[in-house]
Amino acid sequence: MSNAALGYMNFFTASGSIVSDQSHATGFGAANLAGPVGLPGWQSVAGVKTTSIDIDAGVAVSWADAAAGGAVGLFRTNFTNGANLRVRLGTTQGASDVYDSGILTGVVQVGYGQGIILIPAGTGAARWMRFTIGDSTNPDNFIRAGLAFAGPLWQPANNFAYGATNGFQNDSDVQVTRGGQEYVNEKPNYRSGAFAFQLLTASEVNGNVNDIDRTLSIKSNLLFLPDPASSNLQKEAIFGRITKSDQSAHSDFGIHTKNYAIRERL
Amino acid sequence: MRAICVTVAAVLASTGAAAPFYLSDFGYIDNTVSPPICYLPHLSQPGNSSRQMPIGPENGNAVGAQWGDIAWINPRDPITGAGYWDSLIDSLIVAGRAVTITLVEKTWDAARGIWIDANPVTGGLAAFSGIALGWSTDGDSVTLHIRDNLAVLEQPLQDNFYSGAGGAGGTTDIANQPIPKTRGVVTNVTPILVDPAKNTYQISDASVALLTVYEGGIAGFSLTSNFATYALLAAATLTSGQYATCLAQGYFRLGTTPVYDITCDLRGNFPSGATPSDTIDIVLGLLEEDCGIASGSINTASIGALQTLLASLYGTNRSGFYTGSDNPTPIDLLSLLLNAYSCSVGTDLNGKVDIFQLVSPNPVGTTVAEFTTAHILDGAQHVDLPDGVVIPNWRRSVSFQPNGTTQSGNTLKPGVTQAQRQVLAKPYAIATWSSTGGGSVRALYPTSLDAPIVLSGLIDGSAAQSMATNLGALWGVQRHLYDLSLPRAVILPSSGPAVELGAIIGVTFPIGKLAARAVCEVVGMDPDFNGDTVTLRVFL
Repeated sequence: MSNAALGYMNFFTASGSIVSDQSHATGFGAANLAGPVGLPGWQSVAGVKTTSIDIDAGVAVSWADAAAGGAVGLFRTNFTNGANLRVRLGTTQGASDVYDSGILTGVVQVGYGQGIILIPAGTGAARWMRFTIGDSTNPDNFIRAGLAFAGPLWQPANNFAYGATNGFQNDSDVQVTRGGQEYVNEKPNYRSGAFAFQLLTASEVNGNVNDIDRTLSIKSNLLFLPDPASSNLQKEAIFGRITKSDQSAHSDFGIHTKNYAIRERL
Repeated sequence: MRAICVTVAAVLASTGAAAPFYLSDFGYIDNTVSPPICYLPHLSQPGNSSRQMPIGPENGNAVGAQWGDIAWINPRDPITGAGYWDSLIDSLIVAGRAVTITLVEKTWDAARGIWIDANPVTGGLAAFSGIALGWSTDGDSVTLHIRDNLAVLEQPLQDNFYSGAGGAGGTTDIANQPIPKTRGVVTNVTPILVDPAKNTYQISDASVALLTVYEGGIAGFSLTSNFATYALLAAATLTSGQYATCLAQGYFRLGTTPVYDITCDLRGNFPSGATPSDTIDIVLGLLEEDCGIASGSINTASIGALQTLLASLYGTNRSGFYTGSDNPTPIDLLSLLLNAYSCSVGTDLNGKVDIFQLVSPNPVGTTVAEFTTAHILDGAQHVDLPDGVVIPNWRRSVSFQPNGTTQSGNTLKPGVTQAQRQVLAKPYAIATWSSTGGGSVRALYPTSLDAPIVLSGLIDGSAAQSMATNLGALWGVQRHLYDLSLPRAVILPSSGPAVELGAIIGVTFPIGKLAARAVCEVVGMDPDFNGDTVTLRVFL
């Protein structure tokens, strides 16, 4: 198990980035992936089930942290678990001269609708990122994603404390008749989690923690990977809004704490 | 899982070009159209459409309706702070544009473990169809004010007026006065004198038939000719005691200046030439031809079934209206036509104009649904009946044979018989049901009322008597109203609405008359989309 990683610098939403695609239905361009919620999102033209999304960062940038690496992910997708994903980083559009994940299969897990590819620590800078999706058996006859992340990760030196939570929630309304029968007005599932870092250093607080509060606070989306090394990474990862962000506390000499809660963005 | 989808047929303020927008609570993408349409997940308050039939003909002339506002959030760009809807509020026109609310099922894809949007929104369950009145914003949210499709019925019926230019345009004395409409059979109405120099009168803005002209109550003129146009009628040569007509355009002309008041009996047709033979035909013609409501926006199947039912109860009934120099609203005229039948006009869930009949539910009759404690939520309550019918009426009356012009004394010629004078002196005749004597309604309920006369356009007394008797059966016994709250999933399942206004249902619930199973009519529906319940008002 590795320490949790947080992704908060997202090149899909960065002001200098240009997001484009090889195929999209009218009104569903890849630029929509910068939106805060999963609709309208990006969607290919009907019949196109293998295509790519590009990000032009404008200049060569680091897509992976020197220690924690980086991640590229698509969320709220309609991908089947037979979909294959590939990330390339290059000095020109579509090039893989900086990094190539190769074609990865078995990434998408049933019931989670997301696909995340980790970029190794130490990967060099690149101007271009290309995310290629192939989902030839997709029954919708198109592929779509609602949200996206691409950027470096931050891994605290010490992991979150015991007691962290992570799981599905549902806010469906239930009407109970006089006879005791229950009728459910169904609402969608979402995942949420709560975790607390109780051994942060002052430099982590003044750096990453305050950066997250400053740039995202409770309004923008964060990628939370409880265990980037986990075989269940695709099930555990949550891309969503921070719903609770207490002020960091200086709990003891040289020890700082920070509590977070996150809710998957639908 | 069901998404609430709202479509607003807005137009661009700059060009008038169509610029519809789409909203949803969960978000929905209609992939059955090309390009796909995204119903943005901004909707925070989906509105509702509460409808209540008038309880008794004297308590309203149309299905009462209230509409909750549709509201949605105005999400702001986290970087620029600009609201998504900020600029659209100024660049789009929504007032008077169509608004629909549709409930669309999302589809669970077990192989992928996700919800997908596979169904067309147009194939969803219609929950409201109407128009927008306007919108407003407080910066963080946008509110759209809506109403049903009956706005046209609340505007004055006639939008053509005499110009005062002479001839068919009338004299300056009647300039800007509405041109009269006659639909169906009317008696002893006062025509509009459009050309005093040629003694020419107008009786309708469409063709007419079966015209009889009276002077001072006596039909003393002889018909010479019928002309195809007003111009030919005006050019004709007539002598004293004669009259000529232009039935195709609704005019007649006298050969001499009358001494007494001129009145006439006639049957008015619709602009298409359709000749109504029954009250419901007049109602349909009024809606389609005079109000301009497209036949596709009228629930003609439901109205046709009602017409068949009414014909089995009362036969085919002559009726009609004449607007004269007034300009009533269609609702006023529909009230005159339908109240005696205990019917009122409203809209169904699809937003189509329909006619709903308040009935005395047959305790052993067929029901379309059964609701029990397994369906009804706690909180069911008895609702007070409107004043006038709180306790049974001992007498109910319906007017018939409307006399368009009441006349008496020296406004009538000496030759008018006493019997005719009696008829012409009253605005209508009256058919009555009453319950008096031992064991009667009046004996059982000493404070029972003689209900106000229900005015009608009916010509025949036998039909009016049948309707008065029906009103007696309806209101000569103690009636009850209850509000029942049920889960939306019960009333509006994905397979289609379980009930609609006017439906006959069986209810078993431990409150009042419902404790033992009772057959009721649904007279009100209030689908509360925010609260996930539907309130049914039932009548028995």
